[in-house]
Amino acid sequence: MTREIIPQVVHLELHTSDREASTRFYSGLLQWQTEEINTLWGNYHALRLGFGLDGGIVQCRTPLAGWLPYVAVDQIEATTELARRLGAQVLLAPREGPAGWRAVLSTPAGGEIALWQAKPQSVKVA
Amino acid sequence: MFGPTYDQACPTNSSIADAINGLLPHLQARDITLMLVSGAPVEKLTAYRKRMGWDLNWASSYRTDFDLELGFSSTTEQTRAWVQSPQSATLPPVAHRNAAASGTDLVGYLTEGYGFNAFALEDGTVYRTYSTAGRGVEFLMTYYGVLDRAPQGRDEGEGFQVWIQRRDEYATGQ
Repeated sequence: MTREIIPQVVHLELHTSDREASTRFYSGLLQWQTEEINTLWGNYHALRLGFGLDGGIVQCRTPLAGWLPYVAVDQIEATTELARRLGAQVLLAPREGPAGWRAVLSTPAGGEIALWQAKPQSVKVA
Repeated sequence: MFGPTYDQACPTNSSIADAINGLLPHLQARDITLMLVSGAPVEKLTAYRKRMGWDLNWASSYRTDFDLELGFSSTTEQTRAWVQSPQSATLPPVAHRNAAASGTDLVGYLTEGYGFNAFALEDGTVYRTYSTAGRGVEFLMTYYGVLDRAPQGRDEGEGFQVWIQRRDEYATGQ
């Protein structure tokens, strides 16, 4: 597969069992700004990282906190299938949300990476 | 349950109010009361309460920061930011269904979160003595306790709660 543009990391997500402590650490060390968002289905600290990269701190029951990078792709189904052929395990098959589709892969060399296919801007999110 | 932009209360939260409405006299016998608080204007709440036949008092937090202070809700701008993030792909089907059933859009629906609090008044000071949200409110959904003891259990899978309708909207007409 050839590409004219290398897919970019567009979003970084920290999954942690202690959202408050994580936010304190990163704002203390790197002055990262967070905004607490409490919605009906998710408690989230939005991260403003700048340079077209955003992120969030997600509170969950993971025993081991970890960062998950999201890479923007044009065709998430095809990229997920390619990942599978290259030996990745598909932890979450592409799933549609209001703003786009996401998939989560466990790579053969270890570590996880997420794919993100945003819906066109003209699609009304709300 | 019934956010500022809703036309009607959410079906799931309405089923919870059905489930707890009958508790009121028993709790009052122990000097405890139980009430609802939602963000819609009080006129909408009062009309809906009459339709559902509830005895519970229902206060409106319309144009106050009560829900925000409790940490259950977010502003429209904050909620939109979350909806535009990859995390919103975790939304279950019932969120979309309930937004439509409440007569609002997804962002409007999600701005009003839910939770359960206990407050105590002592010497003129109000203390928040207990708080839970998310799965923590399931103890109020008493029908699940019964379903869990039925032969098939709650048997919902990915489509959890989408079977829940308002009590007067089931096709069989309860």
